[in-house]
Amino acid sequence: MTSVQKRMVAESSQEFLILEMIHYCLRQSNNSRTEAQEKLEEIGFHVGERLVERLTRDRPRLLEDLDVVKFICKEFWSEAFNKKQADKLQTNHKGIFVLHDYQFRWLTHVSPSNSISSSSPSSSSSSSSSSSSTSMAAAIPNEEYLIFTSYPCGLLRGVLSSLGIKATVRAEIPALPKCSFTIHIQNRSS
Amino acid sequence: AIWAKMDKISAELFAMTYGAIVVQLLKDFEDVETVNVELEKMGYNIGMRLVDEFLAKSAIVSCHNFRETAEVIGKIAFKMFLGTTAEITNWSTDSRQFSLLVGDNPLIDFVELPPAYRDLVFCNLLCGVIRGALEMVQLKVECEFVRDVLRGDEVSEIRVRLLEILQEQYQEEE
Repeated sequence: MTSVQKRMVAESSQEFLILEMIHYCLRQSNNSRTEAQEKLEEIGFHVGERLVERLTRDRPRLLEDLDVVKFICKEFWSEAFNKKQADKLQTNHKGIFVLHDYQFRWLTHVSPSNSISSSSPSSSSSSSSSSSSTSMAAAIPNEEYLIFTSYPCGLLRGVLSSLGIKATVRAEIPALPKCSFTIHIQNRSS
Repeated sequence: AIWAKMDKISAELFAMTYGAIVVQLLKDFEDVETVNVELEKMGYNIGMRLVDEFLAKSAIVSCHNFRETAEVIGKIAFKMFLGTTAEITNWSTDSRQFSLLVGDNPLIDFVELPPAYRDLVFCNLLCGVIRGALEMVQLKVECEFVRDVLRGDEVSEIRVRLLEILQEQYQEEE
């Protein structure tokens, strides 16, 4: 493609699309969150693989695991998650990398009021009065929000796979809109 | 002007995400007709949510007639959300039907339909979005692609038909 300037769309268009994709997966799996999350992860995987092919077309091959992860933290993050890099990278140097984003763009508009709760049981038993400074969001169990991170987890796994790394990716949401992704590298193909 | 104020992202991930959704639907339903229906339904859901943001950001209060509504969709809404515009044309004499010509569509940047899917209306989501959004402003319409570049036409054309103007339902308040 010869387009000089990258084509842009409204960020909200993407938010609407991804939110509806989540709703769709929940409908398809009769509101089974686990099943919906697996599906979203799988969709993300394929998109991640394709997207990274375009991003890495003109750059030399990334040889070390750390280089790949750094590429994800910088280039991929700002491409996929809007104009910023991951805030912090931790590693045990034995195949585990934890990427922290203190303001994960895809969670910034998630709030208890618009969280997907079509089937959520009365989980609000945890009293919201426990913490005064944090928002209501903190009172909701993290698992509620993991449905929003399945797609990005899949994207990351797809990116890694297409760069030759087989890994699992898991997200944690300590408090909205903070998010960390743990990459667990299993092996490296060729 | 509104476009300048919108938060923007690269269209690649957006287009690829949409493509992946279509692929997933084809996997889930196998039947292309069902996929067309489902895409429209998903769009409808999106349209109902999106209209709030549209009204808030565009500061459009109301349209006086359907012709004005059409211009707003093609010139403002398409621009605001997809960064492109759609030409309004082919008005019916009673001013209840028009066409949107979508020349430049970010959703299809990476798409080539294999012959097996020639009946797939890849962008049917857009029809749903228009229907859902208009319903929220009391206009009941039906939309369909009557021409589609992915199926060999030289332009994509969405036909919009006004079915009825819904009465606003005021709720008694004490």
